[in-house]
Amino acid sequence: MKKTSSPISKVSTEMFIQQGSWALGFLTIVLLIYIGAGIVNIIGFNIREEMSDEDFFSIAYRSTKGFMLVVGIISAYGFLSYYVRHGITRRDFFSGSALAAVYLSLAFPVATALIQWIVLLFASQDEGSTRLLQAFDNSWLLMLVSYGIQIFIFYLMGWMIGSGFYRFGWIRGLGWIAVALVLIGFMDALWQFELASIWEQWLPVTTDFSVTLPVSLAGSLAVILIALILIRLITRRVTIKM
Amino acid sequence: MNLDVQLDRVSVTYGSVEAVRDVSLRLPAGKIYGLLGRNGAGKTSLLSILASFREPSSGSVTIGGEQPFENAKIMKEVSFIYDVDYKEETDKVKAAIESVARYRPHFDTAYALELARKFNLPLDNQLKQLSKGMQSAFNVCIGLASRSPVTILDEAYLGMDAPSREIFYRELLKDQERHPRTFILSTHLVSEMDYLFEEVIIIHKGRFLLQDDYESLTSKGVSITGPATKVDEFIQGMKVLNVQQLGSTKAVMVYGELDEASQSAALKAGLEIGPISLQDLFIHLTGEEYSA
Repeated sequence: MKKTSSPISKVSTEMFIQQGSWALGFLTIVLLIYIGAGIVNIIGFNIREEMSDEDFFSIAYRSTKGFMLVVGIISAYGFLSYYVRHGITRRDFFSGSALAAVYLSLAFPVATALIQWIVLLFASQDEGSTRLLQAFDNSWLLMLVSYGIQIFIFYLMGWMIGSGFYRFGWIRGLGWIAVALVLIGFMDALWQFELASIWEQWLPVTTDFSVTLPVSLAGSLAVILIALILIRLITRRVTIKM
Repeated sequence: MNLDVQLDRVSVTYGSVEAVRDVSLRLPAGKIYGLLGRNGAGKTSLLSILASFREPSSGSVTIGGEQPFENAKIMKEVSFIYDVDYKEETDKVKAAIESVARYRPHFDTAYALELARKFNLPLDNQLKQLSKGMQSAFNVCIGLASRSPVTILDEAYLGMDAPSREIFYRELLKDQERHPRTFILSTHLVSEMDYLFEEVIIIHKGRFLLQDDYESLTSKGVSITGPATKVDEFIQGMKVLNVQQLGSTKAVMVYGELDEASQSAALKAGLEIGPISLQDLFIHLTGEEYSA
């Protein structure tokens, strides 16, 4: 008959389409802000120096984290109730939603890189972005991997906080924000230390990545596993709000 | 699949509040059940367990012999229709119907659209733009078109106007004929819906009060009308639900079947015997003045 795919793939596909459409709207806004800032700069208004130095990618990079956090929170609230109401188990929702987050975290780096590439075709490259491009030249892939992993973790943090509030209410829900802050701090330490030179100071990549990259990846994997286990524990038998 | 519903000493507690207490029920598949209870009787708590929205605090539930909670095989066969909050829901009616169709194995999209037309639902409007009654009509569309073997409608008519409710009842009976399933209808509108019920379950203050088929339940209540003294004499030892007196004439509702001997005795004494409605039975069985 018409139903052949598993509930997990149905949930993940549907969530990805829904959240992906939000992501496109979000990237459009970021792009407009970038273009707006560029125009203002050209006209000659003195905006913040770092701002005028930034390219589209780095603006998207920082703001995507907030976006993913919010989408994660919504995942815990709107989507969980919706799917259980239509006969999906909490377990299948968990897998489907995690998978949708993976898709989203893969799609974001690809989409932003693509937009960045197009922007560079049209934009008169000012000095800042040229330098940035040179700086990333030999680690484009690494940058995208780091971007994908970090926004995935931010999604998980939002999902975990949202689930904590969903199940435990406001007072005890606050505790999950504390847990998330610890995990995000840990993740930041993993990625920002070595990449601080790029993100903060726009220096060329001269740090020896091969030493710390495995540590970053292993540490990120640990954060991801901890978050997934906590989310599953919170939502395993959770009462659905009506 | 034969999905009989069985509850065995089910309790639900919220902190120190006991919403459902020791309820045991057996609902053989394929019938329309009316679940009656006053506000706060525990109807929704009980139903949310069948829908796997929560686990019982104690006791056990089986549907088709299996425990339903987190059981993918059972959960997809159980639909729980209630007053869902749509004020943030930007999906359009048609898209929302198609979305549900992906998750319900027996869903009939053509039928859902036909129902939507009957209820005058604007397919291109967002759910949050619909009026309360229209949102309820949408829920009913989903509930009927899902054709789930266990379909729970918890006050599904909220805000619907009388003509829409009439369509709802008619469609329910029609579709039940074509695709028999278990319906559990929880309601306050007893007098309006009683003709739908094959069996009636009444719960009161979280406890099971009675389960009976509609015919035998309504035949158990009778009203006895006549001269006050004769009536008083006749109802000695009977379970009195309600008394009304106008001058020397008294009308009394009693619960319990009258055997032939007492029926002829009543006639001989010049008393009038009449049926009472499910609504009257419900009111007086769960009213504060009556204690079982």
